[in-house]
Amino acid sequence: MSAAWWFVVRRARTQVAVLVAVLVVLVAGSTLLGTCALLLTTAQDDALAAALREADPGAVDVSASLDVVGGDPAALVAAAHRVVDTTLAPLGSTTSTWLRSAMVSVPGTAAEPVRQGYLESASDIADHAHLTAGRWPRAQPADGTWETAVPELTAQQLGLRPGDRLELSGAAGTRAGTATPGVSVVVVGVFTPTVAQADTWSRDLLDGAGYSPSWAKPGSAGWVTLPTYGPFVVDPAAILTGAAGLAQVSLVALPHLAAATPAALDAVRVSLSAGSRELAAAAGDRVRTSSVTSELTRTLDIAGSQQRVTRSGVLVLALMGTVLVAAGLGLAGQIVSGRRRVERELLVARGIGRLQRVAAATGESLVLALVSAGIAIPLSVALYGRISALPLLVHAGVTGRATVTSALVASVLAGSLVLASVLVVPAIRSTDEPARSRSRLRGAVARSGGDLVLLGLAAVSYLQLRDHATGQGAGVDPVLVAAPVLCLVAVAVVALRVVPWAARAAEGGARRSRRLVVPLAAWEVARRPQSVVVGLLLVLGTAAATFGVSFDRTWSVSQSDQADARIGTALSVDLSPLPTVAQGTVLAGATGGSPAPVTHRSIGVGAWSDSSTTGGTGGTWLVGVDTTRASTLLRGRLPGAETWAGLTAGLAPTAAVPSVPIASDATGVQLTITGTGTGGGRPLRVVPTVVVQDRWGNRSPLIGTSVSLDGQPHLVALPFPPSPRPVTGELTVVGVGLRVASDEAADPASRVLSTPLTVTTEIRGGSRTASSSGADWAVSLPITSLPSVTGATAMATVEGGVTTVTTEATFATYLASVSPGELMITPFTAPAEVPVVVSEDLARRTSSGPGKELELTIGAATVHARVVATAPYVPSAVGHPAILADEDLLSRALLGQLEPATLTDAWWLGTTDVTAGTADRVRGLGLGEPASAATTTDQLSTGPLRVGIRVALGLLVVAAVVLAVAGTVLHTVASLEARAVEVARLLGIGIARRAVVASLVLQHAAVTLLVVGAGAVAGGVAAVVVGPHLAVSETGQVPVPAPVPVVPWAVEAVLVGGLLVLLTAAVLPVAQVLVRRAGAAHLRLDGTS
Amino acid sequence: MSASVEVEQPMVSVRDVDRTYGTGRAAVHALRGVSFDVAPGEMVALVGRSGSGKTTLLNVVGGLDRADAGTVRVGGTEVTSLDDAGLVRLRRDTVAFIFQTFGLVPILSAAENVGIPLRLRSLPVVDRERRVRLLLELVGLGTHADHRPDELSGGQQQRVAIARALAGSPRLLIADEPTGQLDSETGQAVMALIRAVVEAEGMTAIVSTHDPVMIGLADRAIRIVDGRLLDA
Ligand SMILES: Nc1ncnc2c1ncn2[C@@H]1O[C@H](COP(=O)(O)OP(=O)(O)OP(=O)(O)O)[C@@H](O)[C@H]1O
Ligand SMILES: [Mg+2]
Repeated sequence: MSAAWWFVVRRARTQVAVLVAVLVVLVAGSTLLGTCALLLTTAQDDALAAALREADPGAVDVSASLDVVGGDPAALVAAAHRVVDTTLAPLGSTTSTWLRSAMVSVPGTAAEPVRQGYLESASDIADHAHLTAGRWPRAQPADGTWETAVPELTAQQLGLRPGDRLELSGAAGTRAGTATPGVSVVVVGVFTPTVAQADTWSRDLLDGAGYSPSWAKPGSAGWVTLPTYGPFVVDPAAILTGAAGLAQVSLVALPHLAAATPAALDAVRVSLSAGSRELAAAAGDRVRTSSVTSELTRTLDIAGSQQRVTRSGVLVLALMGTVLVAAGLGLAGQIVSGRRRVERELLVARGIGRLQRVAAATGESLVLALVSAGIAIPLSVALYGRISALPLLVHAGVTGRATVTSALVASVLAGSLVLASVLVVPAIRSTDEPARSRSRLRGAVARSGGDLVLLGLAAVSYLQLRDHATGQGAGVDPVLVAAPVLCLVAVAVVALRVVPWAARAAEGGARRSRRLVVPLAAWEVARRPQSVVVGLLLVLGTAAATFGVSFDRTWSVSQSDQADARIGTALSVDLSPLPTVAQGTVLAGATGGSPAPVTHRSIGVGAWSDSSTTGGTGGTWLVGVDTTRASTLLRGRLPGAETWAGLTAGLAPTAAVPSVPIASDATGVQLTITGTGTGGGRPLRVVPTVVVQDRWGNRSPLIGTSVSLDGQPHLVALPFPPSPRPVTGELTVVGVGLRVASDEAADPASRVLSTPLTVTTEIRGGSRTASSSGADWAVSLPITSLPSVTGATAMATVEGGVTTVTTEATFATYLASVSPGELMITPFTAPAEVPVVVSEDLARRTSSGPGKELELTIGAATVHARVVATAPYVPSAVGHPAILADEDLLSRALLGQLEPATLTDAWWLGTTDVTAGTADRVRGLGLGEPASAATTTDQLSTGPLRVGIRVALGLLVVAAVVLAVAGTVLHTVASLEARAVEVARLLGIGIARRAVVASLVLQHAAVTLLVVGAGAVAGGVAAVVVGPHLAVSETGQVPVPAPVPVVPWAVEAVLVGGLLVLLTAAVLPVAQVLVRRAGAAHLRLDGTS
Repeated sequence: MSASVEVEQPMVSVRDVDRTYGTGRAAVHALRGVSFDVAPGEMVALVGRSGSGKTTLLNVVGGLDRADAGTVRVGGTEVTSLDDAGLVRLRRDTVAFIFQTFGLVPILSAAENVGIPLRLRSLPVVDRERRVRLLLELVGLGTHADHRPDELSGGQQQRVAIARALAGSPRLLIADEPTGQLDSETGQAVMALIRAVVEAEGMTAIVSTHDPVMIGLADRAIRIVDGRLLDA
């Protein structure tokens, strides 16, 4: 054994206490690293599993659909099943199968001579519909008749009841000349679709409506619209073997994700990309189109990017923790080497060289590192266990148990070794004492040079961070991870440099005082060279803690801002299929709030410049809301003092649409139409459409049946869509559309070119009175070069509750096939243009700004819009170019374009209408899955894939406080012990013990105050400057809206105050013990001054 | 002068003082039955070999250490029965120490070190600064007032220590080998300074030394061997 080693071992025995202290810091640091490693690995795997467990079925299921043209139906379905099953084989899946027959003819009546229908089988129909009568059909056909269940509206319209038989004859002209034989069915049940999962019924031809008065299908001469009924729900065998033939196969497979391994997910990802190809190959020419679609890959991608973002966030914080621990160990190393100074000098005197000393120190650190790793590994597992039991993680579903993994062992070992190497530094340093004073100036220069380099590095990395490329890569960008740490350390070091200046200010006061205690403390603070390492530790510790607390708020607020902007309102329900007249009332009843109908769809936009269209942009989102309610309805942070109410001021029409009440009963509303007009020797026919508005502003069209303009009054029934029914007497009319046509069976010989047309529409409001006057009414005609209707006027008389509108026009029968004979009568004049607010990126792309015109293509209509303002984004359309308009005005403009289709894509509930249980109540209505800002905030800030950041922040703050306190105590003990002689001298001069203690505590408190203050400022600056750039979105992009730094002053004050009290309190007992012990004996040691 | 010694109370009166460090076999009897008196205004040299108990005796007299047995009176106050506060008062008002290692507070300038005892009495700032200047001039360091201890030579440091000891106008000056760390020439100068200020201020002084030259400057010498006084 070499002399140096012998010495190390002997020394370790006598310096157990110091070494234990070092080991404690080392173990704490390694445990912090180990726990972070578990957060990065085990927790993230758990999080992915939890996220997939919670995922919406629509986000993970795989659907295959086939448009069948021929072949063996059973074999085709089996082939499709095979493709789906093999695609999801690594995970396992549950598949639901929907089959649809080709169109069949439904027996007609005099009023509706031609009707069509279709058969459908759905393996999971019972989960998506409930029977209102009878039972579900069974497999075995009884005497060649198939059992069927029909939707309520089908039953109602066709007058069917359980037990009724129906002959559905072969396809009505699908392929000319290939009429298939009929299918006879017996009704055994009547059902209503439930829309718990809105997507489900989109697999049905009529979206579960049960009836469409005019479902378009290709005919021999263009598109033919026919009244369509269905589905006639039957056993699959009826379609596979029956006469109607298979037209459509839809498979939806839900993968089993509960126990999904990353490898299985990867395999599925690969096979999904080939799914469509394989299905096409399997189906061959038996299908027109086929596809395999799934959101699973996207869902996994999103989860992957969330994981990546969270990982780099945790890494940033772990690195901060490591720097802190390194500072702590630097302090410990300094104390150890201070204790060993005399011994070291002895070793040097005995001729032991620097190399040997370094070797001995390295060996010692190695042993310490290994011991520390040995303790830290189980400790990390235990700590992680405690953390995963925290409510935050339990809430997120990340509660898996940690085990000793290779990642854990590797990071703890590496961390221990790197940290322990800090302890070797004092041994490498020269021990020549006199050199210290000589090189003071040089040291100062070197230090400030080092500061400059650090500041430069921090500045560069800050710039990198500010324009950081989005987290697209698979890995973690080391620059981005290091940048915040560099910035924090740089700010901390600069703050530390300021401390002595502040201390020097106290000196003047000391000179002018006549007393001793306070001045002595002031002198000590100002003149005694303070340990840079402990200063750095304290500044960094405080800075990290204050940064952590503030960043936590900044991050959380940003998540909530992002959630607000993404949802756009407090709670929204996206509707699929279309809204019904009664939905607003149903929603209002369930929530007690005022639901707002909202337009939320992708439209085409053309930019107008000098009356010529340039640079059209597709994929622009149109958001239409009641802007008079913007302050409660619209959510999302705006820069500065801007508000959505302020931005959208002036978008809404100045006056409400006059009320034209309409009487309704449980099944629909009635109009009376009287009119004259002839074409081909027969009276013209007219199909009226009434656009009704409910109490909440939702407008939807009701389509009536065709009536003859024979001079006689005709009562027209406009049926409501199936349940729920609107509340009787709440509807008002905002438009009456008339579609004029000449009778198909007209006599070609008596064809006339044009005919005067008069249509009188009587709208009875029941007991309610109308508020419109005759002057309010206007007629809109199609904008076309060859209009079939010209010279239209509208005259209205309002008497009590009855509004009678008489429209006169000229109808050019010869043009009827070129341009439809349509007109729209409204109790208002349609606006020529709609003022809108556009998102900045749309403004940029269309180079439009306030005052510019845009052309919006909504369905078949075109609306002129004028930009009145730009906004950073449009609520609920974040990440897209978007347009915000007033729903009422937008709808009026569309009615003016003869577009009666509803604009309502979603219902929104504003801030004042949403409470804790609202989302559940809305979900219970089955309109669609509600999305709430609160839930989204929850997902973004405490979701399984996101919560890691919060935990790491908590760990950082705790570690910072613990290290700061431990470091201070260690340092205080060491530094006060070194000053025992001086204390004895002061006592010898005649200073009371209490005064000495007071002076010691005072100077420590002062230093602590300065250093902690500097640290708090440094942390605050870092949080304000760097924090917002660290708060990236879940996909690693710059979030929208841009994050704003948030400093929770109260929490920071408690933190800093608590730290001060804790640190000062830690000094008091040490000083007391020291002063009590100091006495004559210490004076004998007085050798150095 | 000798007539008044008969009737006046002694400034320091030590009777049968014992001081033992440790117990049992390891016990060191640093002082054994020490008794002596020092008259007011007298300057006594305490002479003995290293380890003979000089420092122990001086610390007991000045209240820095406690006797195991016997009594010590300083200026009529029984030091051996004083509590902590009493000892603090004794050191602040009556006794001043000069240490072999000077005992200056390293971070304070010469003037600030001298000012400490005056601050303990809360002397007005102006008065304090005047007295500090006076004392520093007295010890010949008027021009070094702003120097820190590490910027002064050993002799200069000891002169600052003397000035500080005088600052509180003590009645008893205790100096433990004040020249121990100085070369003989400087030592003589410092000793002469002590002699001069003791006479000028009318103080009583006990100075320990093992330098025979120094002994000549004292009124009389007390010899200590292995913790016992030799009758001179
Ligand atoms: N704290 C202590 N514990 C044990 N023994 C002590 C202690 N302090 C002093 N001694 C012993 O008491 C004896 C007297 O010591 P003291 O310091 O009084 O001698 P001294 O005459 O001042 O010597 P020097 O001239 O070397 O300063 C010595 O033998 C010393 O070893
Ligand atoms: Mg001595």
